[in-house]
Amino acid sequence: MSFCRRLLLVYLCGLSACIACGDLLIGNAWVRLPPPGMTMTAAYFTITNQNPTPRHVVSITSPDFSGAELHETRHQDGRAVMREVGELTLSANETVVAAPGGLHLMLWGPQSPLTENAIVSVELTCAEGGSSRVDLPVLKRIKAMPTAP
Amino acid sequence: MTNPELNNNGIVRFVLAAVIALGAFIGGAWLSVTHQADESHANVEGLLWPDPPLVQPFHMLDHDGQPFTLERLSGRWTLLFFGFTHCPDVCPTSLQALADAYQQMKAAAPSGQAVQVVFVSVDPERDIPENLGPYVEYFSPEFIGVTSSSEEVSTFARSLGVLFMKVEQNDSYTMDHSTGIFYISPERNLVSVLTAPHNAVDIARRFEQVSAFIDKQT
Repeated sequence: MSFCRRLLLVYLCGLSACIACGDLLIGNAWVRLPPPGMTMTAAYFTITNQNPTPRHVVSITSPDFSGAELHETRHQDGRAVMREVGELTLSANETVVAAPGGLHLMLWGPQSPLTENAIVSVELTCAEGGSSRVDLPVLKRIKAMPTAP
Repeated sequence: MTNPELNNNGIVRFVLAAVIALGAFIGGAWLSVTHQADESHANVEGLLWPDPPLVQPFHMLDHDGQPFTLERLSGRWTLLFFGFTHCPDVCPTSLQALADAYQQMKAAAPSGQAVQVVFVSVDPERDIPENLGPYVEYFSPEFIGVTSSSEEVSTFARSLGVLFMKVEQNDSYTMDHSTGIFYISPERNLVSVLTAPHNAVDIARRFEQVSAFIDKQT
């Protein structure tokens, strides 16, 4: 990656919730503001592997919650089934979308009550080495609410 | 000189012809109306017709602790969604979509009929009326949260073909559950089920089409 592209990346990351974990980019990230008294919520994002080789996200943690786990909701025979995804594998140049009704980061036990527009952090660890931190805004909703296909 | 018998026969023939013509006209009109009804039925996606199941009696509590029974479904449209408050993804997504569609559905309801959105908890162990109220009101102050004993919830859910199951997960649990939105007519018939994932546009469109069709039949 050229110096200019790196500089552009740093600039873009400064504008939105976006970081690199190796060559992974996270964007469009947000945490759903849970209803009052609720301690369970989810984060959504897009994650892109810009590398020519696969990358494996082996853990995601958050200092702002007592627990964080990657989960996937699947719709089977009219039922929603939510199960933990142990590891997120991204093949070369692949983008994975975590969106409502599909892949999501389940977060529970906020260290302090969540408020709209507050910022929380999560940390990704890649099997290929390195970990990175990303800041996410807490939002009641986003304008164009996408759902998983 | 006219023959009175012939005259009477003429009148009888005339009346008979008129009756046959009228019968043919009424029959033709009836066929035309029923044919149109069939066509409009085919055009309404997801409509449970011509035999929509009647919702069976149930005994639940709303989030104010008041009885929520079959009578609360009479004379208004009801959209039922089953879920649980510790659900991080599907339930808030569908409830937010219902909230986004709610005003549009109220405006589109035929003959000014009322529309209510009811969230039925499949997790009575954790969802008591006291925490259901703030939960549903977060999405809309007019939404109604409903719960009961495990037995009553199971009976009610089963009567609508809703399945749910407690699944242990680390030191907690989650609920696998049916995620359809159930459209219940003012006559308490289940007339449509919209499967997840949900968005506001689909929810409102299904309501407008189904409620307009049902309104024409009554």
